[in-house]
Amino acid sequence: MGIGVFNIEKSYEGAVALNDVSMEIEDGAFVTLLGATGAGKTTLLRIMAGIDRPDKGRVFYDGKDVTDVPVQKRNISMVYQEFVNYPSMTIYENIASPLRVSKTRYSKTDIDKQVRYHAELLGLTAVLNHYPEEVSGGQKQRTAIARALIKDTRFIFLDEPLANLDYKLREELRGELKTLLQQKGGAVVYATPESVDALSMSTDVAYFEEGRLLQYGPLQEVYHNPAYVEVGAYFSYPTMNIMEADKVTEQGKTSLSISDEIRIDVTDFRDRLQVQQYLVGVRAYNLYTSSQNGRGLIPFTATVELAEELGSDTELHVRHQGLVLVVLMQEVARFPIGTEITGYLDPSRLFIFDRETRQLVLKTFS
Amino acid sequence: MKNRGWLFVIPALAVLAISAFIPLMTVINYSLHYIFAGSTPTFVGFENYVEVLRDSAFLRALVRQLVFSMGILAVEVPLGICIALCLPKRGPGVAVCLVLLGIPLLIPFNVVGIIARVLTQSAVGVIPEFFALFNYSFNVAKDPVDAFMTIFLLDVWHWTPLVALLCYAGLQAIPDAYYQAARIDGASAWKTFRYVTLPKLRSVLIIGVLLRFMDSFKIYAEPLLLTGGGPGDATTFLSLHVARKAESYNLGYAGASSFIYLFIVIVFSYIFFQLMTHIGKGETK
Repeated sequence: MGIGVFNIEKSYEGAVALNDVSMEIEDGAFVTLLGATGAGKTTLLRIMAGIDRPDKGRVFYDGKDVTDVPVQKRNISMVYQEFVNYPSMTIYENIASPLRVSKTRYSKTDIDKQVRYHAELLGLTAVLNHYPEEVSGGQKQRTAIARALIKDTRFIFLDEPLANLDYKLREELRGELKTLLQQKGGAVVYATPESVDALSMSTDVAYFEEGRLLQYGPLQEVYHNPAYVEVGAYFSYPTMNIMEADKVTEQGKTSLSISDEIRIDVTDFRDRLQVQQYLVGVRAYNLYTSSQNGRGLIPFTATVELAEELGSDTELHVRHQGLVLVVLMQEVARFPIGTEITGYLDPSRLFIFDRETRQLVLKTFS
Repeated sequence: MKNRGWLFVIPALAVLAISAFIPLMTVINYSLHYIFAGSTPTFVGFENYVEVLRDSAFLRALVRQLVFSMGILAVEVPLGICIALCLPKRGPGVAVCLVLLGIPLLIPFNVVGIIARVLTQSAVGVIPEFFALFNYSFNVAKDPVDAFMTIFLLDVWHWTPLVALLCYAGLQAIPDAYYQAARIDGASAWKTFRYVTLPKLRSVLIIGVLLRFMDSFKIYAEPLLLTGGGPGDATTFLSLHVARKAESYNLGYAGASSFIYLFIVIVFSYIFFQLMTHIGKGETK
C-alpha cells in the first residue's frame, strides 16, 4: 500500500528533468524530496500527483497503475508554494470547497462541522468570514493546508509550502505540519530545498541531483550514511566540509593527506581503501578551535575569513592552505577577520568518499 | 515653503488647471448664462439646465447613448475575454497575435469613420453589395438601424482588441498553480473560469469596463463622418448633440448639456466601479 513510481523519465524541451527514477512510499510515511532548485523534485511530485505525465515509467497508487488516470480522478490533495485559494470565496467557503465539489455528498451540517474543525486546527476560526486578500500570508497558506486536509484523501503532496513565508511563521508551521499531516494517515510527499524541513518533519528522505535520485531511505540512515558526497554536503545541518585527500603509504602506515599539516592515519581501515584519491567530509561541529584536552585531534593553522554569530553559536569560515572550512563553535566568540588560529580536526568523525565514484567508502565512526 | 514636495507637483497641477479645471469652470460659467453668438451674456441661473432636460432631442441622444454604451460593454467585454482566452500563452504565435490585435488600436477615429463610409457607400461599398446577395437593401443613409449597427460594429472592431489585450495581460499574471488546484478539486472548466479566472481578472476588467464606458461616450468622429449623425438623428450620440449646439453658438445650452453629460459619465463610472469592486464579495468590511 502507498505510492510507487518506477523508471520515471521526463524532459522539458530537450532538457532532462528526471532520469530513470524509481521509489516506493509506504503508507504513514512522510517523505521529503530534497534537492536544489532544478534537481527534479517538483517534477517528480507533479508526476506522482498526476498533474504531469511522465515520458516513460509508471505510477502506482496502492498497487494500481494510475499513470493514465487524470488528476481530478485520483483523489489527492496538493499544497503549493503560492498561496492558492479561490479569491472570490471567503476562507470558510475555501475550506469547504473540496467537500462541495466532492463526489461523496456531504450534508450542510456535516460540511460546517468539518470546516470548523479544520479551521480550529489551523487557527483560522477568527478569519472564516474574510476573503483571502484580507488575511496574512501565513493565514492564506493555512487555508490552503486546511483545504488539503479536509479532503478525504490518502496522499498529500506539498510543493515548498513554506518557501514564501517569513522565518517565524515557517518555524511555527513546520512544527504543526508534521503532527497535522501524520494524524491524517496515508502518505505525505513534501518537496523542499531546505535540509531543515527534511530533518524536522520527515520519516524518509529522497535526495535528488540533476534529475537523478541519489539516495532514498529513512531520515536517520540518509543523514548518518550519505551514499554520495553530494548528499552529505547538501543534507547536513550545519554544513559538512569536503576536502580532497590522497592516500599515502609509508613505513607500513596508511594515511590520507589533505595538506602538509593534516594527515589522517587510516591504517585501521586500509583494507577498504583501494583507490588513491578520496574526498573527506567532516561536519562543521567536528572542527574545533581548541584541543579539547588532547583527544587525539589533528591541529592545523588557519586564517579567519568570516565570523558569523548565530545566536549562541558562532560560525567561523577559515582558510587553511587554499581550503575554506566552516567551524561551528557552540559559544559566542569574537574573531577579527584575518586572525591566525589553530584549528583542530577530529579524525574519529570523518566521512570518506571515493573521489571518482563519489560514493561513501567508510566512516571513521559508527 | 516647508514642504518642497509641492515644487514637484506644481507642473502637473498647472497642466491639469489648463487642460481640465479652467475649461470646466468656463463651461459651468457658460451654463449659467444666456449667451447667443456674440451677445452680452445675461445670468439666467439654472434655466439652461431646465431647457436641456426638457429638450426631447437631448433626451433621445442620451437614451441612444446609453443603449450604445451598454451594448458596447455587453459585447466588447465578454468578446475581449474570449479572445484573450483563445490566444496562445507562449511561443512564436504570441507576437503575431498581439500585433494583429494591436493594429485596429493604431488607426485614428476619423480614418475609421472614412473607411466605414467607403465600405458602406451604396453603389461602391462592399457591404451593400454583400447584403444585396440576400436581397436586403443595406443603406446607412436611409435606414436608422443600418446606420446605428454600422457604428456599433465599427466600435466593436476598433476597441475590443483593447479589452482583449488587457485581459491577456491579466491572464498571464495568474499562476499556473491556481489552475492545477482547481483541477485537483475536480472543478469543471466553467467553474474554473468562474472561481479562478474571473476573480483574478477583476482588476483589469474594472479598468477595461471603465475605459470602454467612458470612451464610448466620446464617440464622435465615426457617426459624423459616416452619416453626419443621421439618418434623422439615428446616430446623433450625446457628444455629437452637444457639439452641434455649440457650433450653432448656443453656448449656454451647450455648457449646461456638457455639464450634464460629464455628470452622467461620472455617476455611471462610479456605479460600475463600486459594483465591480464588491461584486461576489458580500459585505465584510
